[in-house]
Amino acid sequence: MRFLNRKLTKRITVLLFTILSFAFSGFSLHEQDIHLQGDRNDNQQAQRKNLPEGSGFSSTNVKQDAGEMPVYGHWKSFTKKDGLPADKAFCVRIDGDRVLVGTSAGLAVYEDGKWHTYTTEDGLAYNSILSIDVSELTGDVWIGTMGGLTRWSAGSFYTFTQFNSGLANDVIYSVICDGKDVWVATAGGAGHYDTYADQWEIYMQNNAPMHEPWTYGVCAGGGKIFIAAWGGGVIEYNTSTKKFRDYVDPDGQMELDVFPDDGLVHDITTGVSWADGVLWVGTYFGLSWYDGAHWKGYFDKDSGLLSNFINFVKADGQVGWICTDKGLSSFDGKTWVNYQKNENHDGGKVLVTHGKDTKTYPSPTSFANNFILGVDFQGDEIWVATSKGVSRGERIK
Amino acid sequence: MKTILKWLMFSFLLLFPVFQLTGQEKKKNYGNTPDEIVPYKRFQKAYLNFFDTIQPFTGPGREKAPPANLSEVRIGFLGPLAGSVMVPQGKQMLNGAALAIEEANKGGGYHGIPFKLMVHNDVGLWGAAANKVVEMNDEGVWAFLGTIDGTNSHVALRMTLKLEIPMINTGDPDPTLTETRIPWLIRVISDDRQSSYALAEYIYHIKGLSRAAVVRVDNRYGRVGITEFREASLRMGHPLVLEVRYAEGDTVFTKQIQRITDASPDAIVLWGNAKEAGVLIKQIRAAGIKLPIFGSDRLMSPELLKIAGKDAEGLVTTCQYNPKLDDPKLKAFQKHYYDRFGIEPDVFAAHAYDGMNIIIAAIRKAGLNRYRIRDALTDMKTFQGYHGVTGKIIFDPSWNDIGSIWMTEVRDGKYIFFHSPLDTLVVK
Amino acid sequence: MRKKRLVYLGAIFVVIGLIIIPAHNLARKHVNYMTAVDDHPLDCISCHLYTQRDNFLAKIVNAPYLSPFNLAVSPDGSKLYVVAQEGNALLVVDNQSDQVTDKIPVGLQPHSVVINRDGNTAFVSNEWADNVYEIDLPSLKVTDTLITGNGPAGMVLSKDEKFLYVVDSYSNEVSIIDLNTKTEKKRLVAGNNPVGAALSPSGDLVYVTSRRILPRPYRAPISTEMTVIDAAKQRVIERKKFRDAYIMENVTFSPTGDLAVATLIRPKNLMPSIQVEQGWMMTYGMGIIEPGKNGRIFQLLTDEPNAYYSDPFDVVVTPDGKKAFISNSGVDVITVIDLNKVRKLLATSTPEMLKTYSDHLGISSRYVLKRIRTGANPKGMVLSPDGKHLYVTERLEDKVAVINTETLEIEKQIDLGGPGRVTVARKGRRLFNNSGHTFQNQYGCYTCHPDANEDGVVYNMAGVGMGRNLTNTLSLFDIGDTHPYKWNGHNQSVYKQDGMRFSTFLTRTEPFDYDQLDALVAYIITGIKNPPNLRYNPTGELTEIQKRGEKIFFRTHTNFGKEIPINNRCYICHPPPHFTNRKLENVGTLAETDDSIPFDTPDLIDLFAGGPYLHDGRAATLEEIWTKYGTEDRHGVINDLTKNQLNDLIEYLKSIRDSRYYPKDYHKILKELNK
Repeated sequence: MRFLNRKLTKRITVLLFTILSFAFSGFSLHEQDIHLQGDRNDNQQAQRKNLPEGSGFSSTNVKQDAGEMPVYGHWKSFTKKDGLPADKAFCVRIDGDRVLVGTSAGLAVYEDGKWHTYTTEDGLAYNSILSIDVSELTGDVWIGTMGGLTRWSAGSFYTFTQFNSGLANDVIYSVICDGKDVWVATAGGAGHYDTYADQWEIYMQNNAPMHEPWTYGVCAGGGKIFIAAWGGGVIEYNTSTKKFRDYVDPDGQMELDVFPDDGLVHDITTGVSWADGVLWVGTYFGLSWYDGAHWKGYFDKDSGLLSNFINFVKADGQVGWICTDKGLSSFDGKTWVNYQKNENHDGGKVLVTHGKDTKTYPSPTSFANNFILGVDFQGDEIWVATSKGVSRGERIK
Repeated sequence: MKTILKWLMFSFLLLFPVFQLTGQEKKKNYGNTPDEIVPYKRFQKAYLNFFDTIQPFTGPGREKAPPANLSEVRIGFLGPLAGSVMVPQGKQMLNGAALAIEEANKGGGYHGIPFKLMVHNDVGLWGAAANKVVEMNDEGVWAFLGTIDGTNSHVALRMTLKLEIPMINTGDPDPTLTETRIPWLIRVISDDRQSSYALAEYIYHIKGLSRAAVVRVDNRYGRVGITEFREASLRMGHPLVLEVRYAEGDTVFTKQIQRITDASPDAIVLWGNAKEAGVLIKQIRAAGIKLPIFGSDRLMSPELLKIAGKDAEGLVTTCQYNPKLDDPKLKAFQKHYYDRFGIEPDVFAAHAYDGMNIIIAAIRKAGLNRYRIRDALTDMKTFQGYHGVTGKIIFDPSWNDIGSIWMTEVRDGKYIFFHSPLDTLVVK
Repeated sequence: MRKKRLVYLGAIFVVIGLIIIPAHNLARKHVNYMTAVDDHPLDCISCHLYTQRDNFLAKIVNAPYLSPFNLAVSPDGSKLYVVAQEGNALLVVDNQSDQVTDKIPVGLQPHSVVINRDGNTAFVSNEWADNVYEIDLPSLKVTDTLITGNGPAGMVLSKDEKFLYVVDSYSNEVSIIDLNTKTEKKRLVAGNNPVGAALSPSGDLVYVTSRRILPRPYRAPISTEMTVIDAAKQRVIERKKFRDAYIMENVTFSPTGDLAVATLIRPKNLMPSIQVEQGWMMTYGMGIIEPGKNGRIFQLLTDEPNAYYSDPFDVVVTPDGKKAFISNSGVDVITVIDLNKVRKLLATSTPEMLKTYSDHLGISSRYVLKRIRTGANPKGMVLSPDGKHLYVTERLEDKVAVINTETLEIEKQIDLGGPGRVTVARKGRRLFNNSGHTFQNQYGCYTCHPDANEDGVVYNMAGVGMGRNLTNTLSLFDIGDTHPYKWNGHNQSVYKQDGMRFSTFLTRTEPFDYDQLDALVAYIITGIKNPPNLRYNPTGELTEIQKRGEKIFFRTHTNFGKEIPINNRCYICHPPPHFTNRKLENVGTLAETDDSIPFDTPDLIDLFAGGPYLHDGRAATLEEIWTKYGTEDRHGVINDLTKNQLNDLIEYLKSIRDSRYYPKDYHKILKELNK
C-alpha cells in the first residue's frame, strides 16, 4: 500500500507536471501571439540574414559576390565628440568639397577636415534640420527645418516661413532644387517656390489629388515631380502639362497588402527618389519600385531588404539606397548589398543577397548606428546620416 | 513502454481542454474585425498583414541619462482649446488630463518633482499641430497627450518619430492614426473601426435592416470615420443606398433630406458633430421621416439632446465608454472631476484622464528618458489590460485600443447604455 | 446822360463785385484748404495748369527731357555713349565736337551702358522693359534683345567678354547672359534692390551693390549687402554686409584691386527726427572693401561737420589709383578723394578706430581733396581712357560736365540737346532731388524716396511725441489721385504735405517758397510714373493663380458661405483703378504707441516694389499683414482661407499695376466682378 501510494504519488506528480508543462507552454505561446511576435520576427529575420556565413571581409570576395553593385567599407563615424552639434543626424548632403549634415541641433558642415556648426543664432530657421539640397544652378543651399525653409547663400541665411511667405507649413520634411524651382514637402502641403518669378504655388487637398495636405518627400526626374503624400501614396506632377496624377495602394487597405507587385505597397509613403527612369518609394511597410510601367514591391520577408521600416530612399543611377531602422540596403533590381552595424562593437557586416541566397561578410568597420536617416554620395565616398552620428564610407575597388 | 504510452494518451486527454482554450484564443483578425467582413477574405489571402507584429523602435537613445536639477517634469497637452467647434470637448480633455496631473502631484509627483502640463491649442493656421509639437519639444516635454481632430492628430504624430516624443491619443477615433506604424504612439480610445463594426452588426444583424443611408460631415472625421462602416456594409451584403455630405456649420439640410427621401432607405446613419447632427435630426423628423436613426460616437452628447429634443428619441449611437458603469474607480473619478470642475466628465475627459495616468505611470516606471518611456508604453505588458475609468484597455499590435465599445439609445431624453454586439462576436 | 452812364457803370461794378467778391472768397477758401495756409497766392494756373497729366495742356506745359543718367566712353576716348533715361535713347557724343551725333532709341527707362573692348558693341539695360539691347556701334543698330530678370540696371562684362552680368534691380538678382547663345544662363540672388556692378581688375570677382536693407527684426539696426560673385564659378561666394548703411548705388575697384569703393548712406532711422536740427540725421560716405581673404570692410564719411554731401551716386577711380570721384547728386557736387590718404588712414587704424570713423564727420578733412560744383543732379561718371578727364552726367541739366582730373576744374559742359527750358515740373524735380532746403543739406526728398519710391525704412517723425507714430516711408509713384496723404490721412493735398509742416518736421529750416512749392507739387503729381509691373503682370493678362486671387479679392462670401460685411471686403476699401477708396479706416493694426486714429487707405498699385508694409512697416512681407498682424479679420476677412488661397490673393495683390498698363476692357471686367 505504501509502495502503491508512493508509486501513485509519483505518477500523479509526473502527470501534474506534464499537464502543467503543456498548459504553461500553451499559455506562453498564446501570450507571444501578441507580445513577442515582433521580437520573434526580428530574431528570425536576423537568423535568416546571417546564414550562411561568408569567409570574412575580404574586399575581393565581397566585390565578386556583389558583382556590379558598389560596395563600401572603411567606415569612419563622427559624433558630438568629433564636433557634430548633436549625434542625431537627420540628413546628409555632399556639396563639392564639403559635407552638409542636418542634425537636431543645427547645420554641421564638414570642410577641410573640420566641423563647423550653424544654428538659429546664425540665421537658421530652426535647429532641427530634416532635409538639405543644393541648387546646381546657383550653389545656394536650401535647408528644410522644423521651423521653416532657410536659403543659405554664400554665408547668408534667409528664412521663409508659413507666416512670411507662401510656404505651406514650417515643418519641412523634404526639399529639392529643380532648376530655378525649389520644391518642398511639408506638414501642410507640398509646393514650389519659383525663384525667378518670386512665386509660391502650393498643393493641398483642395487643388491636387491628395486626401490630406501632409507630405513627406519630394523628388524630381523625367520632367516630373513626385511627392510622397502621407496617406495619399505618391502624387506625380508633370512640370510641362502642370497636371497631377496619383499612385495609391490598389487594395485600399491600411492593414494589409494583397499583392506585392500591383502598385504601391502602402499609402503611407515616407520618401521618393527617381533616377534612370525608375522611381523608388519608401514606406514604413516595405519598398516600392516603379519603372513607369511596372510596380514591384519588396519586403524584408521576401527579399534582401533589411527592414520594412524605411526612413529615406535615394536613387543613384540604377541603384536604390534604402535607409531603414535596421541598417542600409542597396539594390539594383538583381542584387542586394546590405550594411549592418554590430550592436556590440564598431564592426559590422555586409550582406549580399541574390534571390534567396544571402552571404554575410564581417566588416571591421561600420557606420555609427543602424537607424539610418539619410545617405548621399560623391565620387568614391558615401555619407550616411544615422540616429547616432554621421559616417563616411569609401568605395571598395 | 505501454505505461508511457498510456500516460501520454492520458495526458493528451487531460490537455484537450487546454488546447480548446488556446484554440479559442486563435489569432484575432486585425482590429477585431468580424470574420464576415475581413477584407478580401473570400477572394484572396493577403500577401502581408502588416499589423500581425509590433513595430520595434530600433533607434538609440535609451542610454541617455536623465537631466539633473529638474524643477518640474513636463508633459505636453495638445487639443482644441480656442477657435474650433470642438472646444467644449477639448476643454473636457484638458480637464481630464489636468486632474490626473493634480492627483499625481498630490501623490508625490515624480520622485518629489511636480508634473507640469504644457498646454497647447491645436487650432491655428495651416498645420499648426506640427508647429505645436515642435514647441513642446523645445519645452522639453517627456511625452504628450493629444488630440481630437484627425488631421491635427496625424500632423502631430508625424513629428513624434522625428522628435522622438511619446504620444498618447485619447480623443481621435480615426482608424488610420495607429495604422501609420510609427512606434511612438499609443491610443487609449476605441476607434471608428470599432464604432463602424458595432453599428453595422446592430443595424444589419440585430435590427435586420438592409438599406442604410449615410449623411456625414464633410471633413476628415466624417470621411475617414464612415469608410469602415461603408466597407462593412458592403461586405455584409448591404451596400449603402446613399452617402451624402454636409459642411461643418450647416444649418439647413433640405437637399440632404430630399436625397434621403429619394433613396428610400430603411435606416439613416449620421456621422458628424453633435451640433449639426442635432439640427439634422430635427429637420429629418420635421420632414416626416420616421426611419430609425443611428449615429457615430460624437452624437452621444448633451448638446445633441438639447438641440434635437424629443426628436432624438430612439437615436442609437456608439460610445467609447459607459459612464453609468458601477465601477468604483469610475465613480471616484466622476466625483473628483465634478468637485474640481463643476461639470460631469464626458468621454474625452475620461479617456484623457486614463491616458494621462498612463503617461505618468510610464514616466514613473521608466524614468526621465523618452525612449524608455516609449518602451514602457509600447511593451504590450505594462499597460496591457490597464484598468482605467473607461474600462479595460486592450492594445493590439498597432497599439490601438481594441477594448469594448458601448452603444447608447436615447430613451426619455437620456442616453441608455448597452453592450455592443461586438462583445459577443469577439473575445476580449 | 453822363449820370446815367455813371449809374450803369456803377451797376456793372456792383454786379462784378457781387460776383468777384464771393468768388474770390470761395477761391481763397479753396486755396486755404488745399494748402493749409491762408496766404498762398490765388494763382489758379499754378495748381490747375502745371498739374495736368497726359493731356494736351500737359504736353504744352511740360517738355521732353533727356535726363542723362549713366554713360560710357569708347576705348579710344573719341566718343561718349550717354544713356538718356527720360529720352529712352542712347546718345552718341563726339568728344571732339562736343556734339550729339546720333540718338539710338532704346527700351523704356534705360539705366546703364557698357561697351566691349573693341568698342564695337554696346549693351544698354532697359530697366522698365526687362531686357538689354545689344547695339552694333558701327552701324548704330540694335542687333539683339537679351532677356533679363526684372529691372535690369548696372552691368559688367566678364573679362573674356563671353558673359554679361546684369543686375536685376527689382527682382533682386543678377542675370548671367551667355553672349554666345544670347540667352540667360542663370540668375543669382543678390541683395535687396541691387543696382551697380563692378568687375575686379583680375576679372575674378563681380561686386554688386544694393540699395535697400536686408531683412532684420523690426526696428533692429539695418545692414545692406554687397554681393560677391566668383566669375569663374558664376556663383555668389560672399555677401558682405555694411552695417547701419544703405543706398549703395555703385561700386568700383582701384586699378590694382587693393580697394573696392562703394557709395552709401548711413541713416539714423532709429532716432527721432528731432535729430535733424542737431545735424547727423543722415550721413553719406564710402563703403570700402579690401578684397581677398580677411580683407576689412569699413565705412568713411565724406561729410563735414555742419555740411552734408547727400545722395552719393557714382564712384570712379583714376587709372593711377590715387583719386576717387564721387558724385553727390543731392548737392550738385563731385567730391574728390585722395585714395592714398585713405590707404594711409587704413594702415594706421585699428578696427575700433575704423568703427569710430564710420560716424566721424571730421575725418573727411584728411582725405577729401576738393568739392567740384556741377550742374543739377550729377549722376553717372566715367573717366577717359587716359584718366585725364572725368565725364559726369548732369541729369537735370541734360548736360555732361567734363572735369580735368588734374586741375579738378570743370572744363566744359556738353549740351546733349534737351529742350533748353526749365519747366515748372522740372524745377520741382530739381528741388525734389536737392538737399539744399534741409538744415545743413542733410537730405532731400530723393534721399528717402530714391527714384521717388520708398527707401524701405521706418522713421520716427517726432512731431508730437518722440517714439510715437512710427511711419513707414511710402512710395510717391503716381499719387496725384490718391489723396489724402500721410498714414493718418491728415494732409488733404500735396501742398499741405510738403508745405509749412514739412519744414517743421522734416527740413527744419525755411519752408519752400510758394513758387518752389508749386513746382514741387507739379513734379510730384505729374512727373512720377508708376513703373510697369513686368515681373508679376507683364501683359495685363492675369495668370491662373492671380485670377483665383482676384476672385478672392472681389469676393462677397467666405469659404463657408457666410456673407462678408460690406465694409470688410477687400474691394470696398481698395477699389480700382487706384485701389483705394481714399477714406480712413481702422483695420486693427494700430500700435500702442500710435495716436488713436484711423488709417488712410493706401493704394495697392505696384505693391511689388514696396515693403515693408502697414503704416509703421512692421509687416516685412505681404503675408505678414494677415498671418502676424491682421489675425482678427478686421483687415478684410482672411481666416477662412486655406494657405493656398492666401497665396493666390497675395499673387493677385502683387500683380496690381497702374491702370495705364491694363487692357482696355479691364475696368469692364472689374465692374462685372463687383456685381
